[in-house]
Amino acid sequence: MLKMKSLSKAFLTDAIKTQALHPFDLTIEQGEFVSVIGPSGSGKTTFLNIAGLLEEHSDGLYELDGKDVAQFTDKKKSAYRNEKIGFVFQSFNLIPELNLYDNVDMPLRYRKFNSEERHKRIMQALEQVGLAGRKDHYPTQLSGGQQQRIAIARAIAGTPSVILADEPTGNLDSKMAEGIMSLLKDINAAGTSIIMVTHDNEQAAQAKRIVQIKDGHLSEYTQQKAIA
Amino acid sequence: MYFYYFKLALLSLRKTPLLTLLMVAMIAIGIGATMTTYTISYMMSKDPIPNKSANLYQVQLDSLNYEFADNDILPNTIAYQDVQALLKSDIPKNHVALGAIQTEIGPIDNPSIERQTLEVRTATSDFFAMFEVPFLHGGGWSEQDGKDAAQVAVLSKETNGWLFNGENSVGRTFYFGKDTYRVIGVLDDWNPLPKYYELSYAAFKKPNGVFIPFNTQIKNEFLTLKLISNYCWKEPDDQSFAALLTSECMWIIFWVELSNAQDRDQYQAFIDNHAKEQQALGRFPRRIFNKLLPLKEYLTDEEIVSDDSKMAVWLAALFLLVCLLNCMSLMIAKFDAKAGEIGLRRAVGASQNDIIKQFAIELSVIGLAGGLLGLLFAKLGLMAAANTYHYLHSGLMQMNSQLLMSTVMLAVVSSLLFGLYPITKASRMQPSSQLKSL
Ligand SMILES: Nc1ncnc2c1ncn2[C@@H]1O[C@H](COP(=O)(O)OP(=O)(O)OP(=O)(O)O)[C@@H](O)[C@H]1O
Ligand SMILES: [Mg+2]
Repeated sequence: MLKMKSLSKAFLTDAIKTQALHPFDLTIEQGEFVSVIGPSGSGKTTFLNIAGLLEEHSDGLYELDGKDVAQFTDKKKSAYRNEKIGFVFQSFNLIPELNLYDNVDMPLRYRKFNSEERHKRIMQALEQVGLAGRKDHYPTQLSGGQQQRIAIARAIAGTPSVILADEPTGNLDSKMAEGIMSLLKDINAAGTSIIMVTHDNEQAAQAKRIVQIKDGHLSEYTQQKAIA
Repeated sequence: MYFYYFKLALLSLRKTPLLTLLMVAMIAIGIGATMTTYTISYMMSKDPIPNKSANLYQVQLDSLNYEFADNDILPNTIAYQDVQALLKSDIPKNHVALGAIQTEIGPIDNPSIERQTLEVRTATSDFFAMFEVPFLHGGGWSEQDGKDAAQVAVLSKETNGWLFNGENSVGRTFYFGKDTYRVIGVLDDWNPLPKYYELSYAAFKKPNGVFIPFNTQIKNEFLTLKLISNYCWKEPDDQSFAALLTSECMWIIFWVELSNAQDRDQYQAFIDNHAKEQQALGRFPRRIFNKLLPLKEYLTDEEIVSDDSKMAVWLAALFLLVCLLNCMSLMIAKFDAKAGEIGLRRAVGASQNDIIKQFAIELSVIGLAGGLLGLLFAKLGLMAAANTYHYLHSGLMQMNSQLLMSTVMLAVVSSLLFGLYPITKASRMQPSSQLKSL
């Protein structure tokens, strides 16, 4: 489903070149749960942004569902992000002036669903994260863990084939983090691939595949006992 | 989807009320100033009688014995002797000789109403048909009334208002100087702008209040020199009115309506012929050079449509530009502050076009608000102008529906135009870098 070949990324700012990712190969199949670990500044977010079409790679090949993303127009990429990819960020990234219902609604608006379909999906997603009763509340009225659940609801409302999570529990205490982890595992169990960046080795260890990035170099090892 | 964007726009504007207010005010002030000056200039320069202006000509005759001004510039008025001859022609659809006098008028049977001194337009009978003057009651005088120098008058709606309380006064009489005149018609609102049939100095003054037959002026020997342009290049024989009529003094405005080019050529030949006949009798000493000056040329030649008003519009437009540039910097700041939201929307599937649409609608809402407020400012500006220039025609200070529409349109279009750069800048940013700022 996701195939990267000799892919690399360099940032050019003020004539200074930062090689954020050195060339690497990676293939991820539908339904996999992959953890990405590595020290700060090693290139994890950069990797996730490239995977999520938020950033362009510099060299090599990146294929999604067998299609070369370098050929995608902005419209096509946007549609892809909208339909196939769900994002979960460390800082939740909810829009404060929209209530929870409207926050979850956001990706569906760009999908041109009718209002019934949107309503059905929003309520389903909110129920899945256990916050359907608070749909009219605003983000600031929730705890961090609850906010992250809303962000996850927003990511799954469009039934994507992959969720890209960048340190989804980074801002949460361990109890709340656990809740988020089990939610992600449930989502993965239903068939959605998950690629999750984390600092927490224990968390990372719950995935069958672990990708480690060090100074932009990717390496991979497979877990024996893992959830998926 | 546009409704969704509209909702987002309102949310976003409410989120930063001060910034919103500043942007709206900025646009409103610029638009207000531009539209105030533009309205005055537009009203000054618009065609006062569009369906006829191509057929109306001012007759100018070179009966002088020296060069009047530049070789082909002639006085706007002609001599009484010539008027009499020209009125005999049946080539024009309409022709009219115009004079002006000042007199005191007042009611006969109502001492509580004070007499007023008014400027009176004297005209031959075609006047009302030629200039499409609308009547509320009655009508103009007949050719026969004119010949008889009948003591009849047509009142403007305003004059009829104070003199007869706005009632249908046709058939009633009033004091016209020492005489009594009979009302035969009352005009509806009639405020041609500019007052094109006038001499240029009066083109933007208030409409006339009373109209009487030209011949009535002649027979009664009425003359108010300050209201006419009396060009006496050759002294009359004596100071009498009779001497004025037979003199070379040029003081009567003469307009003709010629339906087509053929009529115009024929009429040109007619006036040239008249000049030749007069030349044979010792008049028109210098040359046979007579002009049928089209109304539109008259308006521009006489600078009735002045460049000053256009200058003011340009200055105001520059001011608008400054306002819009300021507004643009606020827009850039606004969209920079929204980088996080933009990045997020891009991440969940908004294309660059979706972002552009969303913010274009937000700016349209700002532009619309600025336009409506600007309209209010323009109205205030025009009211102030009407106060300062109270001797000018109040119609100059009024916006028609077309101008109202264009004001709001201008505000929306210009805010979009100046928002183009901030919007595209915002939509082009890498979503990944924007996301970091939410
Ligand atoms: N837009 C950019 N321009 C220039 N350099 C960048 C840009 N984004 C990231 N980098 C550089 O690329 C490298 C990798 O950054 P990245 O954000 O991917 O690290 P990370 O592994 O996610 O770190 P953290 O764990 O702290 O989030 C860093 O050296 C960073 O400075
Ligand atoms: Mg990171």
